[in-house]
Amino acid sequence: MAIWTYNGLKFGIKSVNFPKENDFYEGFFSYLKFDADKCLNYKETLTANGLPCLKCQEACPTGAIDILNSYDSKNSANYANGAEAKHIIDIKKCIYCGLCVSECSNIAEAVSFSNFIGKDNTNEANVKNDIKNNVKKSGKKKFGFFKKSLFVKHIDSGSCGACESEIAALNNPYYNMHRLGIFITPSPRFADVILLSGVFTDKMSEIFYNVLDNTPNPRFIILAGVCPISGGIWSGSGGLAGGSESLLNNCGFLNNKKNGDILKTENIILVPGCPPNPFMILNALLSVKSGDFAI
Amino acid sequence: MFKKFLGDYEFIWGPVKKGVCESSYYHFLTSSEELHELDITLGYKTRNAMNAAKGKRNLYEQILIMERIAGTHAFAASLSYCLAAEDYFGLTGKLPDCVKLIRMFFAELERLRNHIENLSEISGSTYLEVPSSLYAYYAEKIKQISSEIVFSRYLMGINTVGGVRLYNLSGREFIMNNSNKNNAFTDDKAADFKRFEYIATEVGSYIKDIEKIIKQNSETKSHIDRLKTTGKINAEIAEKLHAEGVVAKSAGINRDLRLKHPYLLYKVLALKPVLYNDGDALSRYLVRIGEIRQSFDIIKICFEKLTKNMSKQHIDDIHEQGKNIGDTGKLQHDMRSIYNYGSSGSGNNSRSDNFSGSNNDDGNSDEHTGVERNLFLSGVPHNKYGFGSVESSEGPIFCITGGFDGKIFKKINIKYPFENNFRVFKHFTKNTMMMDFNINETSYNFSVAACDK
Ligand code: SF4
Ligand code: SF4
Repeated sequence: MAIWTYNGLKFGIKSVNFPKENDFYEGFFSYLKFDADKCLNYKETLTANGLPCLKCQEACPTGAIDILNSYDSKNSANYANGAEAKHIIDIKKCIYCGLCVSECSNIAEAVSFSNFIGKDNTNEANVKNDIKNNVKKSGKKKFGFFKKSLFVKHIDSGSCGACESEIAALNNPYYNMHRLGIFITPSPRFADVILLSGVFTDKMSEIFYNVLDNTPNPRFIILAGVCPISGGIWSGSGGLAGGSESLLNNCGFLNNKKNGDILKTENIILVPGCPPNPFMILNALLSVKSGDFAI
Repeated sequence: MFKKFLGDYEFIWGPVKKGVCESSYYHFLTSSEELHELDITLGYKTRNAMNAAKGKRNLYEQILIMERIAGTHAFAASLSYCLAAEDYFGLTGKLPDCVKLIRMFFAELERLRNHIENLSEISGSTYLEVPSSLYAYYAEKIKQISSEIVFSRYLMGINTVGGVRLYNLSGREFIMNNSNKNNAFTDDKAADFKRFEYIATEVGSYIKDIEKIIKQNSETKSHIDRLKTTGKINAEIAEKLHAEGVVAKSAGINRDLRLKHPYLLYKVLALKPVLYNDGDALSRYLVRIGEIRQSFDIIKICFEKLTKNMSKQHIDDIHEQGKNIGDTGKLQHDMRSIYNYGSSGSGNNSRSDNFSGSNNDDGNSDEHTGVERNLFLSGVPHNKYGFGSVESSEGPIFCITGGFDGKIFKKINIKYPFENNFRVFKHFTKNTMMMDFNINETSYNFSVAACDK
């Protein structure tokens, strides 16, 4: 045993300084970035026939991109007039497959990955910004209830296992969320945060409500991954599947009709990504802990 | 349900369990120490993956679904799908060696990572937190370089039917912009080799450290003693129950697809199977260690062969195809093109396959029209099935595809090894110690998601 204590000490501290400084590993990316200055549709140089370039939108397997979002689509003059680009990419649907990035890479390089990470889990401009569902950003007064420690209960409601792996990764020495006072708890009765992953299948929904009933207030629900947020790749083209009912259930926690009341009353925070990067999950947990979200 | 005796009691565990784990439902019958009966119910997270796949628009989107059935085996699953699709289109023999090597490279990287993660879990289950954390750290490192090189920590989105999607992202620019150190991703062409060299050397340094942990771990008596004779399986019964992967290998059953039905270039490698005979948790642990070494050897061989085989022409070709992702005619992995292309190119399978490189020595690829570039996708839809099988870290993954309608496969199925292994697990946990249950379960490394597809 002693040898392991020694080895552990010898190994040294490998944790990131993350909340103090953004010392991410190389290749870390959190969001997609849409650079309106580069996009052909927002420049005056339009294609010969005046039609916008929709390459990224066509490529997206989940329909997350809406290039025309901020335009009056009938008035194509707008494109040339440099109307403001807003909410082009809906990060709630994106599975980070990178197809849009590569589509655009030899056209205008307007879409790219970014490693921006916001204090209250917000993201960059031109990416649809309603990551916080139902949770208001607290103004002056911080909600300091969880300041000392935060207990998290994880529930898998139909995920692929990658999300679990990423959540479990928070315990490894690199992220080491214990040092920040965040712990995974086995029982919902001690939990402050319910961390939900997966597409919210019918069978798991009942169990989730049960867990929710047993979790004391005040509590937060964090939806980890695009699965519970919108269904991601699972929902995409549900309509095409020949009316298969079961498929339509894969549309995630937010879109599930059964959750109507919960959505109104609970504090829900979304962590996009497929799977969500551990840094992003950690960031959301830290925001809850430090009271950046009001109740 | 269970036949109870005096003092026996039942209890259930799940679907929501302790810690971070997938949803499955265990029903135990026990008399405190000994576990008499175990009933496992899965199906809490069924997502109807096959239906979802049928609703997709193109083959690449189907691949994205296949990867997300079980995310930790994403590469193996997408590879099995691609092999099946290539079999369907009759492209198996036409794939250039460098694509095969790249696929093997990443397939082995995934196997390696999964094994290391499992070593971490096993150490954790015997309450050795230090080695558990150390293993987890290196698994994390492997995910990080995956993210750095291919923009997915779980190697998702690399495989495409007929090729690999490596040159897909403006990744280089991103890496350069965000990099503190001046690494080698500057030169366009050289960078492509450098990626593999970078992964191979980094993983090599991790393996060195991991070997040290393994050595110290095997000297830790409390660790080895807990694993020894725990969850012992009997080779004969295991064979009858069709044990797969590590579980089979631990009982001396050689069912490694890379040896029995070699795909890609595994035939050339002359692999030796990693076999142990005891069938207990220790054997499974040792099989994993053996496979880590084996996988790393294969990674090294693949890298060497890649540097030898991958001519500038190959890189140009792949690069070209990656660049022209928007040009539907040119891009071999852009499956949206397959429809037009299937109708225009059908019946003309004799046109040369540029991608194979050998008959493209003029180097003037722009001369060819898009249809020719995409040639190996010109398979005419037929009524037969394509079949692909891949050895993942936990055993074989089979995929069958058929009913191509010009865009997607209408008939498609995938089979993971876990269903069989759950049967084996259930059979052999009877009359074991309750205390050992966690170690035993961990050593199987189940993916519930793969069963509940
Ligand atoms: S990265 Fe996201 S937005 Fe881009 S194509 Fe993929 S799913 Fe769509
Ligand atoms: S969000 Fe993506 S990675 Fe997470 S469970 Fe869903 S499919 Fe898997």
